Amino acid sequence: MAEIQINSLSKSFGKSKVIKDISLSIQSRSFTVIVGPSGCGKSTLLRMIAGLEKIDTGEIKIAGKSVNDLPPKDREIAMVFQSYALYPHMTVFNNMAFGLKLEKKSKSEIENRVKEAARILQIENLLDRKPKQLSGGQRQRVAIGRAITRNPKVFLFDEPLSNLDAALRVATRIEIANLHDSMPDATMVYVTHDQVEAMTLANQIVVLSEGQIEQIGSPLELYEEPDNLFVAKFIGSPAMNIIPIEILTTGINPVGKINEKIKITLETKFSSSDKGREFHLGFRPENLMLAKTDKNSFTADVSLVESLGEYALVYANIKGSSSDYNIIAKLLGTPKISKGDQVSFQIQKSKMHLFDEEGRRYINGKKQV
Amino acid sequence: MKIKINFSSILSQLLLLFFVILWITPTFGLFISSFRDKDQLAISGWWTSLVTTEVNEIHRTKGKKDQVEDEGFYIIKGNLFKKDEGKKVLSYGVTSKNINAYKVGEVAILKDKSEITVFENGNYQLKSKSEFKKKKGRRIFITATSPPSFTLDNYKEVLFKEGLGQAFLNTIAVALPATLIPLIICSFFSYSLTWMNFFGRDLLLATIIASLVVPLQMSLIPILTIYNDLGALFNVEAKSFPGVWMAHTGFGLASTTFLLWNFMKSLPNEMLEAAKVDGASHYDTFVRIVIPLSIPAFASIFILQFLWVWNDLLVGLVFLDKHPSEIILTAKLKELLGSRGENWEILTTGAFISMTVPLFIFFSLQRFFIRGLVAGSVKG
Repeated sequence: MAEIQINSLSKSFGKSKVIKDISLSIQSRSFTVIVGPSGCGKSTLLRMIAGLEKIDTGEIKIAGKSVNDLPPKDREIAMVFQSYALYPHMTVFNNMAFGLKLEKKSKSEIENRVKEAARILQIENLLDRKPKQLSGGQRQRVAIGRAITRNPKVFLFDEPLSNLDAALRVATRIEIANLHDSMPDATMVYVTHDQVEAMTLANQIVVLSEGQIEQIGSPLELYEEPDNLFVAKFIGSPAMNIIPIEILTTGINPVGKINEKIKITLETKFSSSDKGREFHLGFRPENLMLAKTDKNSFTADVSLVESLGEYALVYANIKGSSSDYNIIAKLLGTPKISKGDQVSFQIQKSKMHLFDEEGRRYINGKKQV
Repeated sequence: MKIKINFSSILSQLLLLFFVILWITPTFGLFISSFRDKDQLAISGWWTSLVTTEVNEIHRTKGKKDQVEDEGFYIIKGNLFKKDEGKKVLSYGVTSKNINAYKVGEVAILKDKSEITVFENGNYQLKSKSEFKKKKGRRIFITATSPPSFTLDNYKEVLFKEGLGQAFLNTIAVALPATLIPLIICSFFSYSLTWMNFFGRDLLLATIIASLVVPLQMSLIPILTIYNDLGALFNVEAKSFPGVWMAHTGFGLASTTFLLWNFMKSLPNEMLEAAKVDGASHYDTFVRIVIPLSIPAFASIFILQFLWVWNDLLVGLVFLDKHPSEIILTAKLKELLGSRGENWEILTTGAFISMTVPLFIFFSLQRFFIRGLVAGSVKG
């Protein structure tokens, strides 16, 4: 049982503020993924939980106990590093036993725990090898094994898959998910910039941008109800289409204008003062479909079609009032569309996202907080 | 297939070969000379001793007291060579005007009607009807082939009679501690400079690097003065082995620290953080991770410092006495150069003795120069 409580945490390196007043609670036994573009401070946050970076202000509690002044070894955590960080002069066994030896555990206990971890990770036959004799995936498993043997309450993963090739990344991702299932008592915190890893592994995602939390929620919450433009663009691949829209009429069946020709009926309730305001209309590529009727449709010029068999990605331009907007549509099957065509699209019902000028989600006349 | 000729590569190989030969030749000459007979060394170059050569020699037969009478003839028998040197006589003569007058085995008839024969192995026989009257034997000029011949006599002489053996031991007694002490101090120091945060760390590092530019010659006399004062204060010898160890340690500190610091900061940061998370203290990290991984660096710094101390003359001369129990090899060699300058066999042998240890150290630790120990820790 180890929940992590982070209270108004801040950190700066020199003059640049890396973590700006973050508060976050990570449930015991959860798998929390901290995701964000590079440089957003996600690794720093993880390293502060680990005790590898000093805390400027704020507090971190693990299992109800403030760990601000505790060294890493007393925090009951284990960390898996991006570069594996194995000890090159030791065998796999000694790499995994290093922490236990420092704890002065008995020989038989060390052996049992290392063997057990090796069994879980299926690296029993590698125990006598040195790290340089291992492949990347094997090294990463040893690094994970080193974390398991210490039997920590909290596992910290710092982009553990980013040094692996694509195929191995998928395989190891599944293994990490299984690992969480086989160790239900452990709390896992996982840092990545890859939103696919975040979506597949997490039961809670924390989206970080420039040292601030953009949104916390389950993967599907983030996908279906992004709180703001940043999350909307960051989660999902290909990214959500965003185009500016001006509100023409409010009331029942409000209408927004993309350009002089394209007007779209929106599903959001607006207050009368919203008339004439500029909003951002967001819709995911898979929520676009070829228009069956003229109603609420708009035409776009196709600039590129990527046909993948299962689905096709259609890149198209909408002529806006001031500039062109690029959109992407993800159409199932193999639609008969080619470059240069003019295609009429419709947005699926109740799949429109509206964001205000500041980029916050806008629902029924209210700003989301 | 077209064979590509890379001229720049060939040129660089040739240049390399040139410099290797340039370096090896004198060393090799020294090596050969140190095993040559001292008399030969004085008259011919070392390259002549590698192959069989022809030499002209003058020998004298035995005199009248060795003659024996046999069937009416007086005979003197003997061998021209003093010891078995493997020489073979090709031809001989009895006058200095014509030293090649007779082939080996031919009979030469002398003015006094006596006959002389010289055989290939140097045996000779003088035969005369009348008794030999001269006390001295006859001069015989021979042309002989001389095979390469080498001897360990020079080493025996230099090591045991000239005192170079003791000097050799003295130098080891100076060089080993004077290498190990700075290595130990600097490994701790470099670790703290690299991986520990403390006040004034960068300033300290800058000071060390700055002190690299101070020449040691500048500080010799001040340090000796301090040693003298300290010696007088505690009533001990100012010049002693611990003193010279300290001096070498001091002079080597800056460069050793700098080199080790340079190496240690190249160790992957995440690996040391992993150790920290695993519960390792700084001491654990240092002993169990940094030291094993720094062995290549230790080896190369050991070689550098050891060779420097081994070849040093100045510090040893200033901080040690010249009596036999303290004098170091280089100082001894310098002394021999003054007193036995004309005895090449002593100088070449001495020089080669002083080279053996550096050569041994280099060849035995050379494999550590190959940096491959960090491979496998991080991606790459």
